[in-house]
Amino acid sequence: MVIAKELTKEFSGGKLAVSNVSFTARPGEIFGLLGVNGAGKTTTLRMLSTVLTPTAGSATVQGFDVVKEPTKVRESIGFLSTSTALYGRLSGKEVLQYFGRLYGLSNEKIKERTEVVESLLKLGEFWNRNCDSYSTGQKQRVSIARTILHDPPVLFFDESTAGLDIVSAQTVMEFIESCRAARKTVIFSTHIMSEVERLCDHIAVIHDGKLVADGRTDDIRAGRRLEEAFLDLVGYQKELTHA
Amino acid sequence: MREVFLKELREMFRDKRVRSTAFLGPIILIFGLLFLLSSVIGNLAKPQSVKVHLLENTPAAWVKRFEAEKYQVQFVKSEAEGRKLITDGKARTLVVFDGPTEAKVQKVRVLFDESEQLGQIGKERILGVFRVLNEKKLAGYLKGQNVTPEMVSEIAPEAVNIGVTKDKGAGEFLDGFLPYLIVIWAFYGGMSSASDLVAGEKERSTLETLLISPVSRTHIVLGKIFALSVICFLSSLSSLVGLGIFVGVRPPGSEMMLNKGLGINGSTVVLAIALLIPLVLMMASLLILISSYAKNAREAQTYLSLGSFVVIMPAMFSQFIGLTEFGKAAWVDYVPVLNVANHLRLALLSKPDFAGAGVAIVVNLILALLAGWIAVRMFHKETIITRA
Repeated sequence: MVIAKELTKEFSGGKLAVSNVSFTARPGEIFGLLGVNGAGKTTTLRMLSTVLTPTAGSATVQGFDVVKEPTKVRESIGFLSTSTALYGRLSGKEVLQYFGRLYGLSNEKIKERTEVVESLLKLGEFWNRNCDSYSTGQKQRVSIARTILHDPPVLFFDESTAGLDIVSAQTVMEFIESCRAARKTVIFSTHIMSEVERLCDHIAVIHDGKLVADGRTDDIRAGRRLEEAFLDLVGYQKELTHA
Repeated sequence: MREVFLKELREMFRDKRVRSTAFLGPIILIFGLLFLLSSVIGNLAKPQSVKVHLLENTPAAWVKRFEAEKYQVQFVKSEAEGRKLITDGKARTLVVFDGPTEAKVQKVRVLFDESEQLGQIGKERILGVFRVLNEKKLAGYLKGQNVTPEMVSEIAPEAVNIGVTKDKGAGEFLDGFLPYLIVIWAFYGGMSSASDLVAGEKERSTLETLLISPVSRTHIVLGKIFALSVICFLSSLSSLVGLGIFVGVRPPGSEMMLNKGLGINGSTVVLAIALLIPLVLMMASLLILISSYAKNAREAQTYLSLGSFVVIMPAMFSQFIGLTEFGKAAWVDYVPVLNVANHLRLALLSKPDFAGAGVAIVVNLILALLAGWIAVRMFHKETIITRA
């Protein structure tokens, strides 16, 4: 479970990136974090994953405080972002072994888990080659494997399908769906409404760093298309008219 | 930390740029540079390589004498033609025999261009030939008069070498050049990897993945610093491999550079390693510090290029320190880079200064710790580590 309470982040220079954001993401639920580019989604996820320290407010991940127990928090999460973040001169298998060791897994556990993720994501055909030689889809599959290697109960997906072709994006989407069945807590940050409609049980909309809506997806839609509901929430007004 | 260290080393060893710039580069460059220098020195030292121009009407005896001294004799029709060749840079010297003076001494003019180094060298060599002839004639005359050289001398000077003998210590050229190479490659060897190690990771977003892992940021930085130190150390030693190949090949002219050997023995090696370890730790910490500050690999390269001057300047001075009074000055031990280069130089001269080297080691260790500490602090600053 992830609980954010009045989470705030002000960067040096006075820029308020996130202001008083509160929400709860539960196990077995896919929680959508929606917002336009620059709304504060990534900053929120960075605070939850202990990369950034909140200026005010608090948050817990699996009951661990993000400021006071950052190592425990990191052990509990997997993070997949837009970038595949792989090491080009290592093979996919080596990347997984490396991260397995960083997460403190024993050699036996690494072997066991790499076999699990290899079979789940069908990595065997290419994972001995260097990551530099992978297609985008192959990179994404290895990235997912890296994210779940230590079997974290909480997963963050930050714009994970951005820039991917339709097949690679489908792999990510299917994987996120499978997390629900595995009773993981998933926070899925995106600005693509169709993905949210397909995946999310619960959504929070962030705009200009502030939470403008938080509720069940169907309740937020209120019978409309999600895109229309979202535009209303962020105060979009049609500006361009045909001459 | 161990995992980060091993992973970084593995990646760096697989990187073609690192293999070529940190390991192969110094070997090829050092060998090539020494080979070139030895050829130049060798050519300058050989009499047969010195060209001399004579007028066509030069007495045959003088022509034979120059040929006997293995000069390349070439003829010109007139003095004007010879002068033109010299000013055009096509001839070094023109020797003009003007005939006997009133005192029946052969008058000779050696024409050369003072602005041309080769002309100056040629002039000195030719004057040397005539000087020897004069001395021989004087010695013969004195002998005929039953006068010994001591009878016409006021003093009998003698130079006595009480320092390093010819069988010990490096040649004069190498004792300045070798330490320079060693310290310079300790920095340059790590430069190509450093920009990739932190700034490159920021750019590719792999650093964020690492920061989200349970490994502490301090251990991440230290793992990277130690891995880069290994590369810097090996790169520094690669320059010695280049030198070793040069010594093994011993191309023509190398005997002038290696006249006393390399001056390397067991204690030199131990001292060199003891001096190098804090130096590479300091260099690696500094490189990681700069790379951590940069937003991306390109920006890091710019900062690193500027930072390289901090290393180059004292390293260059170390080449000439033997020509100054500072070689034994205490303050040199407190100047990073220069202190290592100077103590390596003294060790190569078979004059190791262990106390001074100890000071240099402590100073560089303190600076390594300081740079490492700043790098660790920087890694904990989210404004720096998350900017890309």
